Amino acid sequence: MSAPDGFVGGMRASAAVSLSALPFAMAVGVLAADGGATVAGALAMSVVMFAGAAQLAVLGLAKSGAPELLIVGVVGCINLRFSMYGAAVAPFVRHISRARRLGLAYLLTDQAFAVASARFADPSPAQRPASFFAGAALSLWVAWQIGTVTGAALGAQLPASLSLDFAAPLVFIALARLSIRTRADVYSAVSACATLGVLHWLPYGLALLPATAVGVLTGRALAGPPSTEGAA
Amino acid sequence: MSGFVIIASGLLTLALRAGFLVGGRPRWEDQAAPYLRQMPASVLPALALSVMLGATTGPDVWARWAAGLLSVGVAWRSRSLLATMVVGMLSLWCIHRLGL
Repeated sequence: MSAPDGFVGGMRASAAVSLSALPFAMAVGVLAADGGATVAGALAMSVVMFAGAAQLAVLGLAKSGAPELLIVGVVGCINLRFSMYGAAVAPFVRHISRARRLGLAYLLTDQAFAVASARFADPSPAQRPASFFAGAALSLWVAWQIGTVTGAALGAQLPASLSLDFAAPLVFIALARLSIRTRADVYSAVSACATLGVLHWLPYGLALLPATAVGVLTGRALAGPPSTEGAA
Repeated sequence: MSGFVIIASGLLTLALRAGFLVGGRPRWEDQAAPYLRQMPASVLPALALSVMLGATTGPDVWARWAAGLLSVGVAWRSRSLLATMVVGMLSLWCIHRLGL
């Protein structure tokens, strides 16, 4: 039986991802409260930006007294990857109106991209892919706001020994595994990680862009024709 | 932190997200399709490593690397987000509790 599609199918597909986003969002809320933000301020930031890594960077840089324009520039560098995600998702949602696509764009995150791309890569084509994406992304949005508010409200009451910030790499490790389906994907993943390891000294996570480019090119170059690709 | 930073960051982020998603069908899309298919397998593992490298600072760096590597193994075998999260967090807490 194929995976459920449509809005509800997207919500169901992202349920575990949404739950796992909670501790990451709580860590952002705790940091916001630590930086002097009210619960409403932390929520406003999460609603307006809705980008975990960039929010962490903003909070860290603001705390260190960095100039405002520099902070915005860093956000741009960190979130450049969303352009790539948009290009990859666009063919699946081109049939809906521009206004609705703008709404989907606002909801585009790493996790939503991972859930959607896993479904879109399925051999049985997704029915109503835009609705599926909206359901998955909106679940994540709700979880993110709940987590941020909880973290900001509890603030220092949450012991540091919980290491909530460690939830973020765990989420990305699991999502990375879900993205690897074929031998070509393994080539892409290994070469991208090797490149990132070499270029990790670049500031503001910029190494992610050349790492992705190398991964994409390597995967295509070594994959061979689609019929010869093995499963990973 | 000023409202300017939040609003400007939000608008810039939205512009980056919407650039290709809201625009029309580019002429190069058919040629780019095989490359775009490799995008998730390239960017998500690199992002995981990047976040892992960023999260492994401070006095418990080895505990985090150990828990992270264990999670990689669990993720590879199970393909389960929940199992990866549970094993990763529990192993980190256990290592902390044992004082390793």
